Amino acid sequence: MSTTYLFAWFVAIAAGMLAAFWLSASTRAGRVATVCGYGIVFGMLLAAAATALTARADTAQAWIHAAPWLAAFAVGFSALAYWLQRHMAAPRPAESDDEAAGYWPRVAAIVALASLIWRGSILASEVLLRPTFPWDAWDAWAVKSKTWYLLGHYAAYVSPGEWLAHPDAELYTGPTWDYPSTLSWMQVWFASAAGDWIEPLANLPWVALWVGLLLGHYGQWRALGLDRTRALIFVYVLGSLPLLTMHVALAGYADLWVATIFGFGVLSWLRWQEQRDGAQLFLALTCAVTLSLLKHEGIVWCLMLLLAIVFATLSSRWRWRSAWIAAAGLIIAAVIGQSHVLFAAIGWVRSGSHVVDIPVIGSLTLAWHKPAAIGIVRSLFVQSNWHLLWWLVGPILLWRWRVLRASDALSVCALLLLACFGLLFFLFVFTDAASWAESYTAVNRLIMHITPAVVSLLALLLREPRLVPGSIRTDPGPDRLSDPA
Amino acid sequence: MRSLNLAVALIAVWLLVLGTAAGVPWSAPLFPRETLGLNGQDFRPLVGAGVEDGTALGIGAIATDGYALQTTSLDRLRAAELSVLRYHFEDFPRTLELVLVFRRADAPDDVQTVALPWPGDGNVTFDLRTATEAWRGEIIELGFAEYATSQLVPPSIAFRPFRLVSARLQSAAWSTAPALLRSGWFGYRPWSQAAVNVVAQGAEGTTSMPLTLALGAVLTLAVLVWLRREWRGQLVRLALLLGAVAWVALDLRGLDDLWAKRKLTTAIYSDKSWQERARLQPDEDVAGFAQLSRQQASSVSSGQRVLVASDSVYKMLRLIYFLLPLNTAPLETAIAQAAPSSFPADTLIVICASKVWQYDGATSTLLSGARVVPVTPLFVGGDLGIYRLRRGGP
Repeated sequence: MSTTYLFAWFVAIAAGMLAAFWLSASTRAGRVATVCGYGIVFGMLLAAAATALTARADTAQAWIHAAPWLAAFAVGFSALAYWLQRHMAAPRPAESDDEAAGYWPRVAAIVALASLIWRGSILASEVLLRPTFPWDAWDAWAVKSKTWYLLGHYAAYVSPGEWLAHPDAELYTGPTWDYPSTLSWMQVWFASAAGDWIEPLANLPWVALWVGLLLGHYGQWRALGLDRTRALIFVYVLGSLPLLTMHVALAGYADLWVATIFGFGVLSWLRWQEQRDGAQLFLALTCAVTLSLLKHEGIVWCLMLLLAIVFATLSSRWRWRSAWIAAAGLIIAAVIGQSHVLFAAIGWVRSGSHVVDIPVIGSLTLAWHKPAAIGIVRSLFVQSNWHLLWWLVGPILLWRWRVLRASDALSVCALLLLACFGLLFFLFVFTDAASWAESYTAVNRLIMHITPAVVSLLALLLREPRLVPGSIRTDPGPDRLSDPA
Repeated sequence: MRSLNLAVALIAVWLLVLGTAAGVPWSAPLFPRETLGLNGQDFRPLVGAGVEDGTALGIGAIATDGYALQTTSLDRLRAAELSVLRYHFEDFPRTLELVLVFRRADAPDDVQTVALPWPGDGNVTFDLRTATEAWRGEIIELGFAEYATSQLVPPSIAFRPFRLVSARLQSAAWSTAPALLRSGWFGYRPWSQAAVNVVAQGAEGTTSMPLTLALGAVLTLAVLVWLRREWRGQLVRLALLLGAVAWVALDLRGLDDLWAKRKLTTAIYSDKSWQERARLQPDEDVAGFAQLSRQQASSVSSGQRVLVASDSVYKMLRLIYFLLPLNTAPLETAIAQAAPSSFPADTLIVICASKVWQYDGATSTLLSGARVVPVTPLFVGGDLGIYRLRRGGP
């Protein structure tokens, strides 16, 4: 690993952390972890953005062109965030400590942390040794980055028809020509820093993503009132999920990115709801927008998250009204037999009596698919994808039902996740996408998108009762901005 | 007395749960009624080279087409009565995958195959009845085949000598349950392309470890609450404890699996430079085709377009990936959108391992059904054909 490669990592992560630092200033609990987690993930994405915007003409030296812009953005953004923080003081939430945790839970948390570190070292060595392995990684996500880096400059990817129609133009095509390019640009950044197309080094961000995912969730859970021990145990729960582990070891798919950003978005939104911290609302909105830039399915999660954010701001009366309006719309569409609904970023979704036409997915025939329903049940409860996560969801929700009902933030979060799961269930059980559930191809990857958020919901339901929302300290304190991390 | 009752009840619960997971019929005896033992020397190396090594068979080489096969003839063995296979290899390389091969008397020309867990250095026990419907009737030939793990291990470095020590077929019995569970839950399975979609640690199905542990935990909780009334107030704590223990057990299995997979990766790629690792592709043949194709192509800056076809989608897409940054596209996609006459004049066409696309030397065309593409051959050899598009009809 060359010095320039390591320096490119430093620049990307430092920029991300600098931006995240000033957006996480309202609480001390978990701040370091939040800054590191969000910083690592958004640092890599900011590097991708800087590369896409400033290095198209010389991708071989992409990181050298993009690094100054990235650094300037980080400094400018931090200054703006600092200024906003000074003028928009957020209330400071109650902070938890470990007084309640007994000896054995603490020991368990430490052992869990050690096992995660060991797992991380295995994952890192796996990624650093092997050339790109999984199918979509080399068929879809690394195609553009490899082309752009080795070509030395950007070339547009277009549909096969357009490619054939312009034989003299420097256009490229492929089966995944219309996939979002964010991760490709990120790989260009790291490949250019490595000085060659070295696949393990272009895939290393997936290990960093896993670290960022765990740190970011730990920090936000702490900020939301989980004590250290519980937060560490839930980090272990999240980090030990087998399918997430696979997506790091076999780096190259976009799904873990979507899962991470959706998880971050939900957590920031929860913090905004519980602590009225404007910076967290900004982060939630940023996550929502980022989702749409990662993968087509991310557009759906983006809209769901935005709808939830808006829904949460409504009064109880308007929530019921909007629910009735949505239900009435669905009933009318079902009775009439067809409807056209315009969704931002997706376009017109058309439904007929037996067909739904969704621009990012295609035309889907509506029918009940029993094998797909069985496939989903097997995926969640029988296969080794999730350990016992989905076995635990129902009992924990029942056990903590009162806590859920008492917290507006958690109730709306649960509704959001229920709606997301309902969408997936509808997609896999009532449309042609059933084959993806029957063959276990996409069903688990799409469920993975909402899994970190589900773990967050479970973790927050198991908070100490005294730290459940409502226990917000309203005096921000004059030295809040100078709190040590 | 209460403690004894509790212990008996818990043992009964876990025997029930684990026994069901092992797939042993409840009517089975404690020890197998029938057993057929085979030493390694009873097998003949049909493909590849092997020599008798004591009672074992030492396999010293694989055939040029990349696999080895050892078989033995059987005297119309009744599959239903001997459904449990136990096999023992020594020094079996992690880079190879093992397949059971057999023929039935009712279809002697059909070769049946079942993928087996990696044997390592010890005994592995495997239930053939639940693994394949083909294990029925009368078996007349049985054998083992070894391949470089597909899509994962470069064939050129996959083989190392190993010994087939013994194989044993036996009837179902409760004494085999622990070994069946061990190989079912902890048997090493290499990375596969499906691993990003579904996690397969050991063999899934009736022996699902998450399902078994979840049911075991629920039944254990029920027994504890039933027999220990004073613990009913601690229901949540007990449930959490059982859930945590089951989770950790599953995670230890997952870490063990991850560690085993890492050993293979290390065996192939450690202590090599980035360039050497890049050359060690699991599909070395396709990587070689890409190198040959690149030699026939103009420089990347010329913007020359390359159309690729193969009967295998995997090979076609891999070839396209290896050829980057050449301006490539699938030939089938291009022809579906436009007539070959509209393609740029210097278009290169690469045909890899295809029976669908055939070159007709008489007319200098590539043919696929009714589709005709006039071409000039640049290189034709083995599974690879490289052609330049020719203007004008055949």
